[in-house]
Amino acid sequence: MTDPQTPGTPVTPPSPTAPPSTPPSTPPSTPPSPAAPTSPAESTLPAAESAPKPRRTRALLAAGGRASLALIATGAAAALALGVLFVPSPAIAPEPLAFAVTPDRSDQSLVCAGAALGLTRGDDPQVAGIALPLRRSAGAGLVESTIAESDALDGAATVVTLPREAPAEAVAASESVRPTTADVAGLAAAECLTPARTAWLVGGSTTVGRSTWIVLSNAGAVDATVSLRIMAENGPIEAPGTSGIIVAAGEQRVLPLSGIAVNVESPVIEVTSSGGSVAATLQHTIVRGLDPSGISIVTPVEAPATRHVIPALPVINGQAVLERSTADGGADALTALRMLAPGDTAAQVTLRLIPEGDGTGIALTTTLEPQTVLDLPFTDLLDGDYAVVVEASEPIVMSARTSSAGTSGLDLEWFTPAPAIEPGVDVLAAVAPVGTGATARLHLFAPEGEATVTVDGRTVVVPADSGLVLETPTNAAVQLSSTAPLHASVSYRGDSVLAGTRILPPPLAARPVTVLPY
Amino acid sequence: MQPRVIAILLARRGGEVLQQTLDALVAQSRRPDLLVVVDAAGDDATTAQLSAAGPTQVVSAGSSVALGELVHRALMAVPVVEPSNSPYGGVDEWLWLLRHDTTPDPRALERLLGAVEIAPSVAAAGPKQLEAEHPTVIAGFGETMTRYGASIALAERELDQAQHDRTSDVLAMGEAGLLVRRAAYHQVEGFDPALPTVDAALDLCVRIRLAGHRVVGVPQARVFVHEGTVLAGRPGAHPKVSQRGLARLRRRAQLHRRLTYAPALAVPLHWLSLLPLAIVRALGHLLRKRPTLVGAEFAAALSVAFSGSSVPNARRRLARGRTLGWAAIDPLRLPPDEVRQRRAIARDARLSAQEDSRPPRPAFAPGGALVVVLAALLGAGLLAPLIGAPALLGGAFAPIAADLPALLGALERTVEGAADPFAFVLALLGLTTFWQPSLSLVVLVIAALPLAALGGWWATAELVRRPGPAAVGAVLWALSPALIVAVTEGRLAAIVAHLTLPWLVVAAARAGRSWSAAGVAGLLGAIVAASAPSLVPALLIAWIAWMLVNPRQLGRLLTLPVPALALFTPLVIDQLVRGTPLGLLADPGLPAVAGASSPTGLLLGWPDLLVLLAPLEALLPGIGEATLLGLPLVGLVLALLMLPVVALALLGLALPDGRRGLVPLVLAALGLLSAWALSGVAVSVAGGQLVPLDVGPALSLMALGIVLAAAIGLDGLVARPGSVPGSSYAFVAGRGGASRGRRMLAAALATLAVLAAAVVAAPAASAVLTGTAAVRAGEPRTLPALVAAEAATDPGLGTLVITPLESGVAARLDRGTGVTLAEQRTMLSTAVLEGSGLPGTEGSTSATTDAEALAAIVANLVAPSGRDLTPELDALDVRFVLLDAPAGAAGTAVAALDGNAQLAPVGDTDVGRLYRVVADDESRAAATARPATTPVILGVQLSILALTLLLAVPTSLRPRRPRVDSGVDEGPAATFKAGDDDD
Repeated sequence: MTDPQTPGTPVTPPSPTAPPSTPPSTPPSTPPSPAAPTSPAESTLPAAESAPKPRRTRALLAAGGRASLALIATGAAAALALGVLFVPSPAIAPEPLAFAVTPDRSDQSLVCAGAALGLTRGDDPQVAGIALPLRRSAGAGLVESTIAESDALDGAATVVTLPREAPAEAVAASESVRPTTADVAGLAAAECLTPARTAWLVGGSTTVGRSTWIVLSNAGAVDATVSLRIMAENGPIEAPGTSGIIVAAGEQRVLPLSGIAVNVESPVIEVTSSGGSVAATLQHTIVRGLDPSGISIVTPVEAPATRHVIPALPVINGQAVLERSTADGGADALTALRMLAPGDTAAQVTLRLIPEGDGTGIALTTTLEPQTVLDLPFTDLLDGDYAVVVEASEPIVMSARTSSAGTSGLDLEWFTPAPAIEPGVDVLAAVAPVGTGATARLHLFAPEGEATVTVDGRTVVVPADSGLVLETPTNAAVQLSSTAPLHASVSYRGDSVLAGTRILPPPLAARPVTVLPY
Repeated sequence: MQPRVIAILLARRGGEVLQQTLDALVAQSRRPDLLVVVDAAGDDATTAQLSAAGPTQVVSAGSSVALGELVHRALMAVPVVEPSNSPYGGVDEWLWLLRHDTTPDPRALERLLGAVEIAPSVAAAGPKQLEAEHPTVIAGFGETMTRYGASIALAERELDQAQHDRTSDVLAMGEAGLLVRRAAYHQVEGFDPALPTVDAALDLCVRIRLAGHRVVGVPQARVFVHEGTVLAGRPGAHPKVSQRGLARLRRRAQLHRRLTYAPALAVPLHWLSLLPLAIVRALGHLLRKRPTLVGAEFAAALSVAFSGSSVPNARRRLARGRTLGWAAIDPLRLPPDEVRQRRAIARDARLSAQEDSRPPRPAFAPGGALVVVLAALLGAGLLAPLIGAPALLGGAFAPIAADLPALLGALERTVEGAADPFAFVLALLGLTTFWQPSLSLVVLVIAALPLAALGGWWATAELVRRPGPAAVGAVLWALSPALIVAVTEGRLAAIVAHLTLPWLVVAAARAGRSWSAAGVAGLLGAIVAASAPSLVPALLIAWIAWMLVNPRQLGRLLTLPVPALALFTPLVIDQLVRGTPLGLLADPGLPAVAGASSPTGLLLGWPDLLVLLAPLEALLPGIGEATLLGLPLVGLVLALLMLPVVALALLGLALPDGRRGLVPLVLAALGLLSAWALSGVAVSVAGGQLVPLDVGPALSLMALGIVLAAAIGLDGLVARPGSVPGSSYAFVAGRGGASRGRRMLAAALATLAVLAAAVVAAPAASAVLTGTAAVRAGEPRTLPALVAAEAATDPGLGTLVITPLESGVAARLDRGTGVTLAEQRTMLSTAVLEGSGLPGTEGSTSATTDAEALAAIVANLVAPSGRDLTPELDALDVRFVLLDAPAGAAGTAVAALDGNAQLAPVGDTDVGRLYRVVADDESRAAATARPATTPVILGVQLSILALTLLLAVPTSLRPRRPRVDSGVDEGPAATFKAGDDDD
């Protein structure tokens, strides 16, 4: 370790980038070390040419020993490297702690759409309920109440609440309304909704003779601030008054769409609430000429998705509808799909209309421009109940509109996609009372494989990718469960009336939450 | 009066030495009148040997009988001559005390008698003791005391140059060859039985002096001493006495004499001071790097404190024989000036011996200093966005602690388990900026590069002879991937381990030779082990191997893990009791999920290759990280860049003197193996995700080994001119310019190595500048400012932090301003091991009830629920709920929280959406009581650390030279052993 040269070595400052042992930094003429204690070979090697042979041999031997040491070390290093590369290291890992906790049941509230809305007669027309709804609620122990304040006179919606201490696990309710005023006539039905933060209302129109009311109901305990975003056939519509709409707890707001967007043929409204959640519905009525020509209550699509299924799109008296509707030039009696890709990219959409039974369906492909609503009409559909399956490359929202013609005119109905009912989940549904002269049909559609469905204890088989239609009594509760993903809805039909309700899976609250504590 | 000399020979063993003594007795020019032999050897050969000498009397005694008792028994055998009224005078009896190992000069007795005959007042006369093996060296000639009673030899281990030959009156003489008047001996009642060997003669002579007699040294009379007082007092054929034993005997004798000589009133005070003094002196021993003497100190104090009646007996004996006051002997004591001077000389001698043994190192300035300065500039430049920040966040960084009490409180064992050893490191770090503990983290991170360069220099310079290779080592160490990844990913523990490792290696290498280095190595080892518990197996292997290689230094090396043990023991016990020993491997600090290690990364020294690849990915968009990782090209390029360093490291072995590169290479292999073994292990979970062990410290160890070996290789290339033997020969161009060629080769390799390290490190090191690093400057809080403001007055305030994940909802409960590093405990983060069924863990699944209760609250918060959570939130003192998710990504949780009437939304903050619990809750849950053992554990831990620190601090490297201005013309001539004089 001791080297007598060290103290005298001239040192130039080394720098981190240029190594200090570059030639200038080493002594230009290092005198041979007089002391080479550890290695006798060193002192002899400078004179190796003339050194006596045994010393040279010894030096070479020592050098050879060192060289072999280095070689052995190199070999060991290489072996170690290969070992690290190719021998799998021991894997030890615990299972992360996770608790699946089922939240306590809350009061499950379903907010119904409420009365059919219209304007009061007189100089100062006001929004008012013009026909009271009929309601069917299912679930033992439920409590019905009315929203305290409403923009509409006598129009306050009903809240069906299943208190947490109620004996029943599930609750369902559906309403129908059948106004017969000079402005509004027809049958409308809607399932009562769980309030949500987002809702896409796909339907309505504000062209001449069409009126559209947006109904926002807050049945919760927290005020909600609602923003609306409206997109139409020509793209998004910027309008004042669409944000910061406060829906206080226990309040119902009724907004005319025409106050926001005038003369819009194909609106789609995104409802976003912060704070509390709201139930958003949309009432669409049509007056053709002087004849009331139908009413529909549009229930919302929860969120854009790449796949939507409408279990039932009934086409009834298609020829008559065509004739009647062309009389006033309005095309909105035709069966049509309204679709919107709300994202920033265009969506390729494949849609299939699958008739019940063994009729031939329609399959076609189209492109949705971003944020532009497309109404896609079908003029030559045969009568029948169709299931609509829409698959898109980007998330879209959609809905289907159809009309039925009867002796007393046309009735309009929007059919919103029904969310999937997961296998094994018990679903309670309510079939709305629709009064006399109308029947109800239960539509089941299994897009992902044959499903065995239990309907009120009756077992039916829904073939894969095909629809099944069951007659069902009105004003009844239906218990459903399926062995495969299933979409279900109810349609109500009679002379000149058509309506539909969806069967919704139970709200998420009933499901366990996985909590991962730190 | 006729002198009658009774020679008393105390024989504890026979053999050649005894024979010399017996022969010398026969050869005396003035033969003793009587020879009484005390046979304390207890073996027949010695008895026969003694009998053959023809003694007057033979007395047998047990081998363990003390000196005074032996003399007493001898005297019993020789009746006192009746006093006579003869006009010619009676017989004046003298005792001549000899041991088996004291061979008197043939004229010793004659000269002693000659001295006493002319001075009737002299009652004791001693000869000059010379070392038998070196007859020109004085073994002892006279003893005295300091003013405070410590015994001091007047001359000891000096070359006899007649410098003491004028000495006559002394306070005391050694018992070897001491001639004592029998009457005086009886008057003072002989030796003190409580002083078996050390100071026995001093005490005897003091009492003789106090009885009114004189004690003289007779330099012309000489005795050759073979063994010395202590050894000669030991039974057995080959007695040994350790330094420890000697210190204990000396201290014991001194304390006994102190109690004996003190005024009666002062005795209780002296007695009470025994233990405090022992503690103070023990600390002094630690400071003077003599920890082995600590035990002796206490043993001596305790044996004197509880010595029964020996002190009262001695005091009575002294009182009975005394005729003069203590002032009578004052002139014979050693003056304080001279005491000081002697001590200074001894200290100088010790230090110069130390300095001589220190190996030469390359000078730090200018080369090393320049590297450090450049590293400091580079570090400041690369981490410029962090300069001026009050705290660092991101990665595994968090504020160290809210304030000083929280920082120190983290050291305590709580009901949750023992504190992490890393808490002590954090406390040390945080105390440097005690007004804002988190600031020290910023300082450390910004200074990481220069500190690493300094450490790299220090370690390399220990092994090489030139500044050049040391500078290369410093650069390579500062640019290590392990350090850069640790900085960019915020792994504080890995940074600390990286910065400490080189100092540890240097200190451990010297630990066997010096207590100070052993103390330093122990403390540094504790820091490294605390920062990287996963490195402990490698460190243990290295430690055991080092002890096997250096068996003679075993004593000091064995103490190395003591500080680490002090820190780890409570945690080890807690983890073992819980049945989760694997949890000991857990990295301390914030468990944060970082990029996983890959075998290629391990080989290249990168704990997380993604840190390197992310900037590349930014350069080449379209190529995913996965693609880059899978590319063998990347690995190949990196391996090529690493090649010069590895080549240097291995080449070093082939060069002369290159075998010292073996130890670093073994360290490197150990590091790589640990990294490999740890790479698949995860023992803790953060937010539902497994946290793999950090392989960074293990890779730091590997890098250190390679850097040191490479520097040695470089040194070997540069240092010795001449043709190159062995494998490196082929690289040298031209035989004629061999030496020049080697230097060129060295320069080229060093340049390549440094350039390659810089190129490889550049993308990752600039991550903070470009903003791609996880680390960012931040405020010393992890919760929103509103919460922090309230927490300032209410530190118990709880905030429920909910993070929606794909697999569920992660939740934790923060107190005060949020997560801090100090409050982290591996006992908590490894709780998941309990009941996991992993090897080495025990117990069945027993989900902690706390976690379960929290989970119930969280589940009812993030989903619509009818539960009234207010009482439960109150019980946990939760005042805020923070949804830690970017807006829009929170899903249904926002709806549920927004819609919860028990919470009022505060708004979106920089760390997520904040809610306040509506209901007021002024009551705070009482802090959980600490286990009663907490202060004891902490006290013991801190004491061990403090004692090690005392041992470690270098004491008086450059002592003040004592000024010699006294007119003492007869000062001690040569070296003195360090005296035991004190207080």
